[in-house]
Amino acid sequence: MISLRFALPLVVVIATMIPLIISHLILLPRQEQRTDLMAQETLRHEITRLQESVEILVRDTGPEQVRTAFGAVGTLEGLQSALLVDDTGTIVAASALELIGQPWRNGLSSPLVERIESMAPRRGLVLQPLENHTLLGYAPICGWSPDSMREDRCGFLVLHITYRLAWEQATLFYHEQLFAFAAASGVGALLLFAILHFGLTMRLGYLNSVITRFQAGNLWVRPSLSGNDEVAQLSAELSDMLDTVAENDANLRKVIRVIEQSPSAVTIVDAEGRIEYANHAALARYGALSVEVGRQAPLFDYAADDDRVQQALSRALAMGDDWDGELQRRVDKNGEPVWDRVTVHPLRDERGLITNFIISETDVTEFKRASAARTNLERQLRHVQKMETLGRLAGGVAHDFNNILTPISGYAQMVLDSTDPEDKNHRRLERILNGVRRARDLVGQLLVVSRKGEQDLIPVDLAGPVREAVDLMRASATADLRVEFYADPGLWPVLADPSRIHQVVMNLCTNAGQAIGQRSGLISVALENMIHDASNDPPDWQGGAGVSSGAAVLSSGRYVRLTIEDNGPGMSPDIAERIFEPFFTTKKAEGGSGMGLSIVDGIVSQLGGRITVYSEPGLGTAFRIYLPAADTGISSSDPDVTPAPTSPPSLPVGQGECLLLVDDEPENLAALGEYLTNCGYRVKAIADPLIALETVKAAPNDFDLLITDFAMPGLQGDQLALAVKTWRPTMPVVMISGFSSKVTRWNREVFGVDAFVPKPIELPLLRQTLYDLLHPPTAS
Amino acid sequence: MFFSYPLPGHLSRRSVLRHLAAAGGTAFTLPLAGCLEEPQPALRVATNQWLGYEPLYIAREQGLFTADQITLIEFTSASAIMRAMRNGNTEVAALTLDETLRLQADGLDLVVLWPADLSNGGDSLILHADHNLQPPWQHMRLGIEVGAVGHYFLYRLHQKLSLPRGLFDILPLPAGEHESAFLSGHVDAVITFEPMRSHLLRAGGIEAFSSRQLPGEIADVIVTTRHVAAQRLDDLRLLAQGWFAARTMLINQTPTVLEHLADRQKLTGSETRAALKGILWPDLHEALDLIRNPGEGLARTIEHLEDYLLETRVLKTRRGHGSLLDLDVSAHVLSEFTPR
Repeated sequence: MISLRFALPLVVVIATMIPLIISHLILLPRQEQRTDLMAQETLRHEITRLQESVEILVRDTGPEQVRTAFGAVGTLEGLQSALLVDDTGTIVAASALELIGQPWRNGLSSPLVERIESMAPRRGLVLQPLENHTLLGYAPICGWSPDSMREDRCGFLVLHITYRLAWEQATLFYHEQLFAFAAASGVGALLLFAILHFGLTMRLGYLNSVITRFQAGNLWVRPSLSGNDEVAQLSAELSDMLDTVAENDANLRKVIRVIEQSPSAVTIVDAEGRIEYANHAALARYGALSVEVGRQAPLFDYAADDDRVQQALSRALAMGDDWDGELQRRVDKNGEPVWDRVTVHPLRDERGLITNFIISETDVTEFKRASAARTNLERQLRHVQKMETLGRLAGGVAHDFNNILTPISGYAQMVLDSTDPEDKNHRRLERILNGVRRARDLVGQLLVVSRKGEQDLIPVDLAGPVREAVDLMRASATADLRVEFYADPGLWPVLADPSRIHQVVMNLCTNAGQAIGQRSGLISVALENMIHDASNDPPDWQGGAGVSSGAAVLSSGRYVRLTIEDNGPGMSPDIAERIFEPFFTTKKAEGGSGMGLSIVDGIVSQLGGRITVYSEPGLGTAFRIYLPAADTGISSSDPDVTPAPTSPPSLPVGQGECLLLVDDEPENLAALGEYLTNCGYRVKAIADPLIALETVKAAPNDFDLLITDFAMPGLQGDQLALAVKTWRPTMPVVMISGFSSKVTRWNREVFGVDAFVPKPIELPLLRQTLYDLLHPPTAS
Repeated sequence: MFFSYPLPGHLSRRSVLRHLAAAGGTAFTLPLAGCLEEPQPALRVATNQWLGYEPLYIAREQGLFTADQITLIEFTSASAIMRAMRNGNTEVAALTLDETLRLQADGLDLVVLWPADLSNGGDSLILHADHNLQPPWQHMRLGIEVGAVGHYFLYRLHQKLSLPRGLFDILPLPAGEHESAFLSGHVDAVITFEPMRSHLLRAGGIEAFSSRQLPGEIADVIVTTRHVAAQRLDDLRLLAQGWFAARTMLINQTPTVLEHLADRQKLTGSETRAALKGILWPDLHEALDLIRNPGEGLARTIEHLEDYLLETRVLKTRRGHGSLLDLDVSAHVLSEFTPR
């Protein structure tokens, strides 16, 4: 392709030359012809003018005047000769005087004479072009004839002129014009070349180089032409366009990177399912050969294994709809199924026809596993919440029930004490008190279930209490029931109440033994150290009738696991779901209370542990209890545990000491007040703790001992004890409460409580406690 | 690179070249086309001062054609018009029929385009007031334009009044000199026409004979050569269109037209209106009828004129009206605006 800077000037030159050539071939002859015609026209007018003048002169004057007037014709430009001839053929006037009077044929050359003779008969003017740009003109001269009363021809007029000079001038002018035009065109072509070279070609070349560099990958290059002309505008627009292209390119690269680096396997297939593109994840998943361009997409291979999926997929693709679903693609190295979430989306062209499909496959195996775990966790959480609710209910009932039992117990004891043992009512009263004790035990169990039962937690090697329970179980077991025990050496200590651990093992082993029944069976009890990873929670049960209770989430850390397994008949999932519910029992006929596992659950939960159960009908049941290992070492005994008072042979009586009794329950206040009065004490019973406080404040030395309830409106018992100790530090304080879990050791130590007696109050215990506090052993 | 962007299509080198080539081609083709097309010269129409030819000047005045299209040349005599026709100095002439026949006798291949007017008093014999209005007018110096309609008028005057030959001393006088020669006393009488007739009457002349007494005999026509009729048809149609439009204005005596006519002919208003009564301008249909009907109209006038010209030996043989009156030519020229 010829360069623009050469092409355009060449076009200009050619465009100039063509009209020049055409002018030379066509216009010049026409110009010459025009010059000829102009000369003829000029001569025609001159002859006409001369003819009219001569005819007037001939009519009005004589030959001399005609001759004089005719002399003026000599001024005619280019005149060769002029003759005025009369009707006899004699020249009467001429441009050359010597011709006058001669025959007209003498005045002209022979060729001219012949031509004039051929014109002579005419009445009108005749012009005859001759060689060398000369013209011969002939015109008759007519005069009035009185005789004939008409105008008759009386002579003629001949003019012979040359217009060579005019012709040459015209031709020269024409050539000068052509030359000027050609020169101007040449200069114009040169100017155009310069303008194009510097103003267009070079700048366009620069823009072209910018585009070339941009296409080569230099996305930062931009044109920078200044000015306001079209090329500068083009440069600015090109710059903007390159900005847009670079931005689009960056975006496109980003999109491609997104697809390339997507964790999902993305393949683009044509309408027939042949692969056109596969990203890195697809290559990694299937291998380069499987996703080679042109091959069938792997999705269609493994979808073919499932008729239902294949039909749904085929229907969606045929309808041009999106399709998504989960497909089991394969199993992993552990034999676990691997699941993919697959979406197939059709790509349509501008006419709406499907050209491709985008297949995206995402491994959702972990998600499905986590989802299952989350479901289990949620179920467990619901169970814990349910147990919490039941616990709160049981706790509330226990508290109130204790308050109810306290006056019953008090009055029954008072009546019993005043009744002769031989009296038939004495035995009835004892039965009432036995009933009260059983009710108190039940309340105690409810408090355990509600996680409010009192536990004295100490670092304990669980092997001790568990072995004791196992031994006890072995002792009571039938010959066909074998109880095995195993404990890891060096068990980590657990912060627990040994008696409660004992109770847990006994409850579970008893249940296992009852489940095995009279058949031969095995109960395995094991204690193991384990480190728990919360990410694997729950740690060791999957499938079957799995239920867990206790802490909703077991945090990572060290645990001691207590496992109690039996090979009994196992449980159905429905039963396993409810075994931790209070009062749920499958042994109603055998007198089961339904509280055993609830108590176990309550104890474990109070210890921050967790219990799981796995049972399968026909195979047996396994309970696993996870108890967090304590950081402290094992104590041989609990120094904080108040030693159980040793009862004297007979119950002590008061010696008139003044007791301040405070309880917001009027029934309790009345029963206790009366009982203690009967026991030899002076009792000041006050239901309002604030009044009691004011009373002590007014006369602190009037009272020898304070008995106060714990939970009271306005002022709690511990706060009352603290205030009393402020004014009378040596005054003993006994706290009574049906909500023993709230009255912690911390409460008692900090607020100066000297003894705690739980509700329902066992009156002999209270009498002994009062006595001990009022009569402390002397230092000696 | 994912994409490559060519230059915008309208700015590609190929496109630029194509556009420049087209522009260059246009640049030299247009002037060339102008050079190759020879400009048509204006159609020349020769007239004298006869009032009957005024529609031509009214048409020019009203802008019905321009000087670039049609050039009106006003000669001082019919002889000059005839000379211009003979010598090729004009393409179209306004002449009387007898003048036309004289030109035809000189070898010109003429054709009547349309009859311009009929003299109905516009041509007169004007005498000085001290002469008798009635003959005998013995040795009266009479100025006439020889070789023109005045000659025919004199011929018919002799016939109508039964005057003897040689009664007048004839002085050849071009029309442009009629007024001066009469007023200077160089002649005793003059055969003249409007507007000189009105001028002389205003100057005291008396009218002894007029064309009113020769009804239909003195007809003016617009003539050209057959060659021009074939070559300049568009210009002739334009001329005819202007003529008949101006004629309508004149007949309707449109004030501005009359005013212009009076100024040009140096007549008063009353003189103008009186002069107009001495001329009949046929309309388009009448014009075609005058040409169309053999034995009537112009054909009949031509027969009379040929008798006269044969008698005066201007014509050697009778040619008849067929060559001069050609309805095809006339209809062709007038067809552009002839109501169909």
